Amino acid sequence: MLVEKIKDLKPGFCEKEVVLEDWLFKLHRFKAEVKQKTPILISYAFINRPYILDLHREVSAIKYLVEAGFDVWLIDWGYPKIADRHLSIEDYVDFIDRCVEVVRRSPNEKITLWGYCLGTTLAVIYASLYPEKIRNLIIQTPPVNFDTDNTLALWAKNIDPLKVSRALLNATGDFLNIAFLLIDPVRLVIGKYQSLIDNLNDEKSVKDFFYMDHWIFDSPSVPGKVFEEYIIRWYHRNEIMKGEFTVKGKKVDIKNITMPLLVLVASKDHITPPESAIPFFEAVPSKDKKILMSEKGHIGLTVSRSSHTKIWPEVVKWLIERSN
Amino acid sequence: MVTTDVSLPERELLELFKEAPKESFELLLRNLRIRDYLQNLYYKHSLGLKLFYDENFDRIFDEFFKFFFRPLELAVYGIRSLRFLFYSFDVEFLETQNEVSRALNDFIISWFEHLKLTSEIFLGRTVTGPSDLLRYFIKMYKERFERIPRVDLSPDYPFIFPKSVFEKIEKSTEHWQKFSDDFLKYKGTIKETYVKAAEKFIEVANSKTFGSYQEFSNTFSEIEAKAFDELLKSKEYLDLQKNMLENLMDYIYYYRSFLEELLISNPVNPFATISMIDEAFKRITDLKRRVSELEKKVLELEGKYAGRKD
Repeated sequence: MLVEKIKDLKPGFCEKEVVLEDWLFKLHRFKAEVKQKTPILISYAFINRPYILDLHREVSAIKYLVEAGFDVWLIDWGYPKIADRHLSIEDYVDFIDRCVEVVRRSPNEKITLWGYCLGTTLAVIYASLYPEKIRNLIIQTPPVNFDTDNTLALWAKNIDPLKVSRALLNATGDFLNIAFLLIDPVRLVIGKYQSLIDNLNDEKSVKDFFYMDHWIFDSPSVPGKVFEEYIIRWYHRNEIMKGEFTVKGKKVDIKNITMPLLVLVASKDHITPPESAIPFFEAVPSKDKKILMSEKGHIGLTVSRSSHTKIWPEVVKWLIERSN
Repeated sequence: MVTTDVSLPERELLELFKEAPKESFELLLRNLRIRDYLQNLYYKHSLGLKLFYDENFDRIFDEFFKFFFRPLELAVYGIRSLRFLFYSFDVEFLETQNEVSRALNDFIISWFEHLKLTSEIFLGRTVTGPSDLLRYFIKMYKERFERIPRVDLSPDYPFIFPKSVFEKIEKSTEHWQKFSDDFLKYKGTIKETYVKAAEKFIEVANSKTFGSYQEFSNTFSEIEAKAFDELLKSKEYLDLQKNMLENLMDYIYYYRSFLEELLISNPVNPFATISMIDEAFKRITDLKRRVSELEKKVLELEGKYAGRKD
């Protein structure tokens, strides 16, 4: 029975605890036997749930890092409610700063900041504002340059987010999900499910499929004001790349990114294609920078078995060389 | 008709709905139907018959398109169901309810009379006590209620409510009309693209023989997918989507504002509206920011800002 195959699918493999909580936002720390000196703080995307990085034993990126002896911390941006709709991007950057202060053992210690998808944009802003606190910057499927011509970017440039936030208050998970599905409707609404039907008798395929679908449809809302800034300041105006983005009046200057930089991109990524990162990669002055390109898509970079064979060992090697 | 080689037992459906995300569940069921239609087409093809655009293609489109509008559809339905809460615009609904209520009342009275008569015949005694007392109380209460002087308000609604109520409903209606027109164009554009791609597929299918159902189905999906890749980036589509979305958003906003105005214009309204609550949320968020700043300053002064103990 199909239902037996997917009963009790629970995402999350590595043990973790909540260290800091601020109504909505949480800072988690994964249990590990720490061998590497520099701790890692992951700023996850506020548009999805962070457990994709630790989906299950076989595809857990966190497991990789923990087994390599890293002290891994993760920011969970939670499920914003209507009460959170006036939060702004500045509040998110502030919380990263609070987390960095918790993760650092002393005022002189530097950490590795790791951004994932829209968490990357926050990580780049933070690293530009506080370069003295960041030893390494890793950005995964990063949207930093928003001036791209993929379908999602064209759609974002052609909507008025003020009308959406005025009507819905927050950009709801359902609303955002349908946009992500409809940028490639035939493959994601028909093709993907026809493949599932083809493989209904294969327990492993079915489990993998539903692990992913649970994650895909477990979408938090984006607070109304954050959604407005995300679309207007990032997609419409591309403020970060143009050096026009400010936080509390302080300019975000990517020329401050002089720390080692690792960029993880996926060639088939239809959400944040490589062009979302390459102009940024070229513009930052860091002398120690590298791009690792996966042949997968936006999510495949994290969970595909091929990434776990090819990409993740290289990431860990790069990090170990710069963490002690 | 070819039956699908894959199916879900009916008894499994309810359990599956509990376990799977609702979106996956719906998409799975719709895709099982799509598979049936595609298999019908493949069956014809494998018999050497020429394909043409028939009802199977239309049904595939219907299943496919149903998912295009899910979250926004919810917004439209959500508003529709809310309307029942507001008496003045659903007189017909109230009248229907009134009829039902009157019928129920008549039924209860007849039932009571029937019991009373039965007990008199079979038990030889008349039903007295609580029931009669209840009747008496209701009669008294009704009389008392009728003594309260009735205020005859003008039935002309436009002069009862503040003008802002009508401004909001007018704007909402205006955007609804625009949204409806856009939606029809939107659906038409999607259908046109689908049909053109389906015709292209038919041409390919009629010029070759597919080795398997999988190959047949994959070719159909790929041709359709490419057509949509092109459409979804076109200026025509972007403009249409923008107009449709914005008109729907404006409709939602103005309809909600109308309901809010309607509520707050009534002095006995016991509810806080979402706008009132939103103002409170805004103030709380501002205060929280100030508290965070102060906390940060205190920690800096105490020299505790960075550093954990382990």
